[in-house]
Amino acid sequence: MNQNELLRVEELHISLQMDKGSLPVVNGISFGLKKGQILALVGESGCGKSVTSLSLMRLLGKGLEISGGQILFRHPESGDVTDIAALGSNDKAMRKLRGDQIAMIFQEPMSSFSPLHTIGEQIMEVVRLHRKVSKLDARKRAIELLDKVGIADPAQAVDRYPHEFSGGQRQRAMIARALACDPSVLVADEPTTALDVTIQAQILKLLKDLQQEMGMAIIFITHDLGLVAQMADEVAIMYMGNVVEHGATRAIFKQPQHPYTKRLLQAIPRLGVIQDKLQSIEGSVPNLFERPVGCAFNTRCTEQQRDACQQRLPALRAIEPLGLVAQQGTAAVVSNDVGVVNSSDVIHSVACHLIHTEAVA
Amino acid sequence: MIQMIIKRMVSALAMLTVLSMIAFVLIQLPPGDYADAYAGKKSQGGAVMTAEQIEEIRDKLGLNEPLYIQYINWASDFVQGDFGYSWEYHRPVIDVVAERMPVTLTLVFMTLVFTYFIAVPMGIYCALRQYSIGDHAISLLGYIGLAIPNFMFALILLYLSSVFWGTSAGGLFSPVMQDAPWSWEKFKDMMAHIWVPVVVLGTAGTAFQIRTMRATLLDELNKMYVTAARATGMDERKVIMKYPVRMALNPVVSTLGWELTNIISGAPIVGVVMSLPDMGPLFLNSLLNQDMYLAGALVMVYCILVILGTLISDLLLMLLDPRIRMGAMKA
Ligand SMILES: Nc1ncnc2c1ncn2[C@@H]1O[C@H](COP(=O)(O)OP(=O)(O)OP(=O)(O)O)[C@@H](O)[C@H]1O
Ligand code: SF4
Ligand SMILES: [Mg+2]
Repeated sequence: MNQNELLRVEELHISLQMDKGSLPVVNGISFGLKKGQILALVGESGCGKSVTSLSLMRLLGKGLEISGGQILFRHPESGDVTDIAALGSNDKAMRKLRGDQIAMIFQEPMSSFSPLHTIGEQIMEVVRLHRKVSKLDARKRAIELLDKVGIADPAQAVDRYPHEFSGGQRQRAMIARALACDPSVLVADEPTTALDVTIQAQILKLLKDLQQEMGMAIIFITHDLGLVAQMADEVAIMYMGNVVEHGATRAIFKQPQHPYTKRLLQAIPRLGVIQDKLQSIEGSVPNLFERPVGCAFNTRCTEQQRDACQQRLPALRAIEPLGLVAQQGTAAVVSNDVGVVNSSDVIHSVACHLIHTEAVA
Repeated sequence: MIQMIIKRMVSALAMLTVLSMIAFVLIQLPPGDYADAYAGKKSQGGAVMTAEQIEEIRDKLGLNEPLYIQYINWASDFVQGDFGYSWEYHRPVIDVVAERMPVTLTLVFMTLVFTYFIAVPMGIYCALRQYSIGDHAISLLGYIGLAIPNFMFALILLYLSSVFWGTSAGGLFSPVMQDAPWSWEKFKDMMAHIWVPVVVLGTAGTAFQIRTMRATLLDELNKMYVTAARATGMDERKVIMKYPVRMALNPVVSTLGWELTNIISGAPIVGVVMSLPDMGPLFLNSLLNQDMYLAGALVMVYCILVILGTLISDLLLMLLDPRIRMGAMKA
């Protein structure tokens, strides 16, 4: 774990427990999150984004279990490192992190609040769980938070029930609830998917502004690469429970390496470009029961595949500096052209046999 | 809110008025009328009444008035607490009913308490431990409870108690207390006996409510707001009790009025089978003997109980669910 990292996910495996054995859902995923940065986790539906994000807070649903790997969290003040993967989901140590250090907002603003309790009560509850404050102070804090996320007339809104809020307002309130204790990590699982486009833009701007103001790191989960450019510092592209490419946002957009990333980028609808039909990626994600042997993408990959593609899961590795990759595959040549030397301190890494022909075993 | 409560009360009153008409028709249903019945009773004793005498009684009782006037007379008497005269008991109906009513009320109330106090925790247990042995066992018992008719259950308990304990589970009092006036001792004696009919009356409803609670809670447990509540760092137990359980209680509460109806409609038969001193046997006898003022009054009392129960359950639901409360405000 790097010194500047808050969170380090290392070779994380999550599997679905069934009567007959278990099925891998997340298959050895690794990524790090730096202080105050926005990392986007991108991938098609079903690739394990939600499962991964829930596991960071040990909130996995019934039947899903962490079956290997580590989730290291470094406490920003004390510097203590905790392996979240080793905690029990209802352990006190875990509950102390939840809502206080790591907070989450969900895809469905309509159903993330209990309809029977006021918005204010549900925000005050988090404050009072982690801070020794009086009810009155917690209420003041709730009003302040609602104001911060742009809810009009917060002193009144605090006593309203969720059904009196619109979808956008509810997502704002959810953000207020998540930020109640100044978390160092905010996990936002497709926070705008359920909202219409104008509201979506407002919420994203709000998140970005709050991130700048409060300085938390955000894991921003989306299936829409189009949103990533404006939001994220770093991007991790996921496919079937693995990261297939990771790098600085600029690098991913300018010099995509992995065949899957390239196809995702082509599928972004562009303004002003009239498309015959909306391009989407051909084929579909295999279901969990039919995980391909070798590279998980080999059922849809249109590149000139190598033997290894059907045999081994390619490891996520940094792109080699110039020269070394020059004589290998077309993808590498392309990257060579634009000069893939990491411009930022973010290492650009890819998991594809075309790019890393195994010289080493 | 207040407006809504008033609205509900008005509709409850309207309902009662309609029901009272039905009760009145019921009273009028048997051939002949009170005067005929009176004459019939007299003639059994050897006294013969002339047609004029019978007509005189009719006039006196207002039986020659048009039907709606009779209804209004009966209803206004009813409201003032005059339920008519019971031929069978030779006493005003109100006295007969008043004597039996406390027992019925206690029985109904205790059955409701029994039903919910057992069903809610068991439903929670079954949902949280879905497919565990305990869950399966409770389900099985529930099916049996639902399948056995009340009277059969009552008979089985009567039989078992006489075989195993040599005492009768019938009745509500020990022989010593049977005719004693109401006292604390007598009340305690009743409580010691009342559980048998309570169990008989309450089992089916309890089984049903366990299933309702289990199903709704299982549904609620999968909702996003539960995960969101866990994400605050709250203890799992507290999360469950504060959010999904609270939500799952609503449908259970909303069935309160309906549950009460079930209990009340089951009560007379159980009362008869177990020879309880409540309104049950009274009701059956009044129908058998065409003691129609008594029967009408009992029908009214049962209906009032059901309507009150529904009203209470509606109000409770409004109290519990802000969406209903506010929907009601806007309406
Ligand atoms: N509780 C669960 N029980 C069984 N399978 C699950 C459960 N949760 C998720 N899965 C499965 O795990 C895989 C990954 O799901 P996940 O929800 O993480 O996908 P996602 O990337 O978030 O997709 P989306 O964009 O649709 O939200 C899917 O195949 C899904 O069917
Ligand atoms: S490893 Fe092979 S199959 Fe997988 S993306 Fe690369 S080229 Fe395609
Ligand atoms: Mg998801």
